[in-house]
Amino acid sequence: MNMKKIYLFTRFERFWHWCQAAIILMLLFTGFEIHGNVHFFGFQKAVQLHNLLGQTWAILFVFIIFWLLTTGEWRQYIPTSKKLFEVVLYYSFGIFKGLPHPVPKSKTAKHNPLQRLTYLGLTAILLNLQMATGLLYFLYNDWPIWGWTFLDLRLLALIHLTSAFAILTFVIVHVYMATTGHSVTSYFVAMITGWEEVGEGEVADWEIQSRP
Amino acid sequence: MECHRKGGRLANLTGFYMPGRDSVQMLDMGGWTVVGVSLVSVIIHGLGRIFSSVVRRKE
Repeated sequence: MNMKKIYLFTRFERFWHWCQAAIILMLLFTGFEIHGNVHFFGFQKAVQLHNLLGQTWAILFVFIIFWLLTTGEWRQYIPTSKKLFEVVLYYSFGIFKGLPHPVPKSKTAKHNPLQRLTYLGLTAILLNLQMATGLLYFLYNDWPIWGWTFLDLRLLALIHLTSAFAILTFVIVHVYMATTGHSVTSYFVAMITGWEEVGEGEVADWEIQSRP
Repeated sequence: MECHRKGGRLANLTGFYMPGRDSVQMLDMGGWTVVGVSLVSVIIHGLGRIFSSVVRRKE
């Protein structure tokens, strides 16, 4: 089959994605060391790193939100149930029969309905829950100053841990799903170069841009 | 010797949540179960893709 390439991810999106990936992986690693599952840096070093990574993450998050709002790209994450069932069916059955993906990608709709739901849930709920509980955890020693006597460290820590498990699960499935493109590597290449290889007929002519 | 580990130097201090020592066993087990199940699922799904593509190529 003939190949075509479409430009899907701008330079900032790729920068965002890989910074986020590195920071989240290291947050998971140091976080589970603090929790007692990993022994690598030692508790104190793990806490220092985790705090630094958390603050770095918060700065990145501000830029992500700014970019999403100013470019209008947040619309890519509006959830839809249209074709959602078809996408679930595709990944459950169609993919094994070599059927084409039910939702072709384009510059204005780069995420399928299942991705929209997942990424929205991740960005709007999970990551915010993680940042909020993490920040409160970080400020633990200042709680008396602010009069936050109603807070419970145990509850906060357990919420933080629960969503850490959810994020780790997301990472596993996300990395695997990245192999389900036109070829095993095409999604990885797209996320590095911005250009995704798609089969001919999967994309309309107007979607193809010439290289800048 | 680590202070925050289970049975570490701070093991005898009680009455508060200490990271590295305290957790809820059910949550830990549930969490690692979900992580494990997702890992096994994607491996099975991946093997299914490899297997089915080999079968399709032969047809």
